[in-house]
Amino acid sequence: MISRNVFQLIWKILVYIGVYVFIGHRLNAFNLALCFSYTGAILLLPISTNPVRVLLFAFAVGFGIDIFHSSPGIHTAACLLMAFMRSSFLNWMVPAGGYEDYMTISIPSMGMKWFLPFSLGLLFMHSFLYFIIDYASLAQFGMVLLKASFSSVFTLLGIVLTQLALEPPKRGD
Amino acid sequence: MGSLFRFLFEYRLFFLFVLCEVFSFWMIITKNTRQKSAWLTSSNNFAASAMEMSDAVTGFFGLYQENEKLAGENARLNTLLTLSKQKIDKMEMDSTKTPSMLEQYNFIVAKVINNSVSKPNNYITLNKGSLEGIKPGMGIISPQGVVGRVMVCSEHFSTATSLLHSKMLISAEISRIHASGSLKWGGNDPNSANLEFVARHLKPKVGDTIRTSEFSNILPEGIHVGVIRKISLKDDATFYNIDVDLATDFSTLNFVYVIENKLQAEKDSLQLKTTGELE
Repeated sequence: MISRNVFQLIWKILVYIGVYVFIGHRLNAFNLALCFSYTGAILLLPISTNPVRVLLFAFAVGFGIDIFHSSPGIHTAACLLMAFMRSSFLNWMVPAGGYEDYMTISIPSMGMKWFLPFSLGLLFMHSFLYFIIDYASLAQFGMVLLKASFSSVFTLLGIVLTQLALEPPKRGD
Repeated sequence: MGSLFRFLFEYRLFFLFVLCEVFSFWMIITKNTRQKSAWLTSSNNFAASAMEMSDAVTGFFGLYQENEKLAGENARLNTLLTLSKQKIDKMEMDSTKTPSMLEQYNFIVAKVINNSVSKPNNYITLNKGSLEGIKPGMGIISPQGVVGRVMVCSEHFSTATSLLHSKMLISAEISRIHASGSLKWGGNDPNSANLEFVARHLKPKVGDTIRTSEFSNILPEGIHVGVIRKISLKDDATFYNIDVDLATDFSTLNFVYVIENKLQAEKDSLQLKTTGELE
């Protein structure tokens, strides 16, 4: 049973990264928003995952994406921030009654009110750090903020669509 | 020690995060050209401003000596002013000299930007050149005394032969007895030179002041050169061997005056005419 879950998890991770590698990285909406859909692999890990493992996993994912983009360190730094903040977010946003085993990080499971601030907040941190490093200056801070905001929304859209494709909501739910 | 480990373990997530971020930023800075250049520029700016600040601080500590020097020069100039006033009064009385001779010399202030004292032939670089009116052959003095002669000029810089140069000769005289001779550097000690061609019938004394003589082509008469330190006379020699302590401290030269002799051309052409007619 456990091994089945592990395989499922690996499969999902591969899908999120694959979607980014094959589609996501080509998307550039109005030169304002990029789709970092690989962040879904970190964002949507099971709630009970050990934070240290999440951090190491984020490092590995960011490093891999950096090799793919030949931009050593940039995605890694952004992913690490996101992974670190993820555990804090999970602690801050404990729903009444605590987390249950059946809960996964998704709209059907957690509800819009929980899912949107959680994912948008983390995605904004990720893209903000990414663009700050990418611009390598504070001269265009406004542009960085703008791009980070649009990109986090765009990325969330990509992640939610991938998630819907992976786990289609059962009819009649 | 145990509590330290407990502390580290408790915040292991944070420390791991910081460690990983440091590593990734190290990668960003070393491997990405754009981020690398941004980092280098900002760190260079930082280094430059730090250097500027330390320069300001050390400059502040040098102010006392600079002040002392300026006060000394002020005193010297005041004396000169009174002296020349007296001279002018005298001249007005006998009115033999024309006004152009009174304004024969023009002083241009320049800063020494390169200098040496330890070589057999030493040169000085000044921060002003032909655009400011400096020409080869002009004399250079410092507030303390004689410095040298301009050799080559570019638009903004000049190089000058220092008095500490084997080919540099300056007409000087022992002002007490008006005995003239040639001042030449010995080649070793930047603080002393030799006064040559002082005939043996004269009676110089240790401690006599040496000033530039009126025979000098490049320098006005009466510029301080130094003080006699040692006098020796061999039995069969025609001239004295005079060691002079130079007034100018060449190792700390900072601001100097380049002297323009407005009547130089007139004097030269006249002298050339005479030699031309003789030949």
